[in-house]
Amino acid sequence: MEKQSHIEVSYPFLKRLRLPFRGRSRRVSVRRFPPLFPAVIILLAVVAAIFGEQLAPHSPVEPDFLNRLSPPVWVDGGMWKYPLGTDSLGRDVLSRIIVGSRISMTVAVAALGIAALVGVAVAIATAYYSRAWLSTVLLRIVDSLVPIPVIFIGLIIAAVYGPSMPAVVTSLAVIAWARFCRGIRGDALRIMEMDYVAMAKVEGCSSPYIMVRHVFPNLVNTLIVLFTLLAGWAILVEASLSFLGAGVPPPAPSWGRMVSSGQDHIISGWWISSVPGAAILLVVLAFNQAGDWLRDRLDPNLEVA
Amino acid sequence: MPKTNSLTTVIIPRLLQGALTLLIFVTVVFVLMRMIGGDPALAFAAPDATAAEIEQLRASMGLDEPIYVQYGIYLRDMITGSFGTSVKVGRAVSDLIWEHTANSLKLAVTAVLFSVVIAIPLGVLAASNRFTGVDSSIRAIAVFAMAAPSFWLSIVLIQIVAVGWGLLPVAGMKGPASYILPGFVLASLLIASIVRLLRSGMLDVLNSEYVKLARLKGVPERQIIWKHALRNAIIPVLGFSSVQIATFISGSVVIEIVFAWPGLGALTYSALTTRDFALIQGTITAAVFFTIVVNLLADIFYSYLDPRIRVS
Repeated sequence: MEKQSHIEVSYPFLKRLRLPFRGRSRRVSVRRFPPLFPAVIILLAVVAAIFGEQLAPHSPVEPDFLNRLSPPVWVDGGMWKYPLGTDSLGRDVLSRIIVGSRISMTVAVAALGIAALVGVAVAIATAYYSRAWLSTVLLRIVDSLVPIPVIFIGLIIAAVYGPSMPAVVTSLAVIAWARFCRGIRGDALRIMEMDYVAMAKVEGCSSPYIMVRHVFPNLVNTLIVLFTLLAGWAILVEASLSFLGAGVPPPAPSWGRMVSSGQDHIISGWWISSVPGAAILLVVLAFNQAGDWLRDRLDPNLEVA
Repeated sequence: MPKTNSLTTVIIPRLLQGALTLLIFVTVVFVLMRMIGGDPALAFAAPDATAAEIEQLRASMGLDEPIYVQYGIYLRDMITGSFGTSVKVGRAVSDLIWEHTANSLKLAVTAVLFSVVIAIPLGVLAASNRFTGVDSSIRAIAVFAMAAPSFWLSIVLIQIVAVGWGLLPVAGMKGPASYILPGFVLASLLIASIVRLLRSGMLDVLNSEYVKLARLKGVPERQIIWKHALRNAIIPVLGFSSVQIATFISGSVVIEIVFAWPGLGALTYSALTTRDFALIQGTITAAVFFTIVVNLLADIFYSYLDPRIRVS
């Protein structure tokens, strides 16, 4: 759903001037440096995803049967050996969260990477060849894909092929490319109207050259904003699928499945599901906040589908 | 603005778009379901089916025919809602879907009520106290609610409210009290977006000339906020939120499982864990169908509320 928030002025020399539709006030000044909290959380998550095993104090999969259901250190009976407690098999919750970051990050980066590639290519091509029937067909498909809930695609792929990392990545990418395409197409169309594109055509540049060298570089800002905003969404979807048993299968620790495994211990071990859930919350929150900040800095008019 | 006919500019294009979405989804499901390792008839049949029963299923799925005939048979079945028989439950898939959809619908209506009752006062409160502690704490809650995974929120609320304080039932659908927790969790995402939108909409209106005029005339502040500002700010918010309601259908999958709610989401999940392919195909197709219908209705409602959309 695109909300029209600006009137495009039709005088050619004023083409880029956008008048506010009705005194819609965005934040007056945008902070120059990224807000500290999201930056720190994202950095931690990325470091944990890369160096997981080296950083984790214990093995994420080896059980310690003597210390099952050990509570976090700030609760009576907690010990410093396991600062965030252990689960029903005696595995360290902290180590599992650190190593589990890799699954969330890999899925988000892989799925959104593929989706961005396809989505940007389609957005540029349909803007460049806007009169071709193929463009119309592609845009209809994009509009059709956006409302389909990813969870259902993920569940059905997991049912047919069994749960796996490629299954999660595929189901996310199948829907996300349409969101990239929708988010970027408006800018792509605007750039096609620019004089330098017309000049490049006059000079005889080939169509692929214009698309790659003249149109694409102007879309990078929007792409970065979209990528960050969709990263939070992708992590949330991956966690939900893992929670439903349609994510990355065991023994790899994924945050969503950690939450689901704690469901059987709601009374005896509340930390088993609450703590990994809080990790998901913090990372998604960080990506959302970072995305908002980037949007205000780079592309204030973007509306995410 | 030229006078526009809402039937041709709003309803028909959106109907066609919705039909196309459904066609694409159903086709994807068809392709996936034919890729099940081995014989689709075996996958759809009961484990103890006789050779004759499997043969009958094979004929009804058209598996001996060329692929386009199979696709035709499949499309006809999807359009008429004949999703076959659930082999694990032993009943028609469409009957199961209707029963469970009714329960999901009750939950969704509860969630809509919750979002309206909770979000509107919060949004108004944030806007009328802007840049104060009240405003920033309401905004902080909204930001957290947007990022909180609903399965986590459900479990934490069960731990605190149901187990810790013993106030509400832990799970199940027994009596009005059992609606509160799942309804609230389902509503939380919508609450967050309504609060944010209503706050910014109210701030726009509170800066407008007619509010200034009302203040100059000496209209009491309470009346300015609840009458002048809210009535004007709420319209786009309602339109946008109605579109968001479509997400209740996918959002409830996870929530119904945590709260053991006998709805469509829980049915989908149990079909998945028992690898009941006829039921999986049926429930997921139905869920996407309902999503598209809600989207369509909301879209029409939205364009009726906000005529600017009709033009673009």
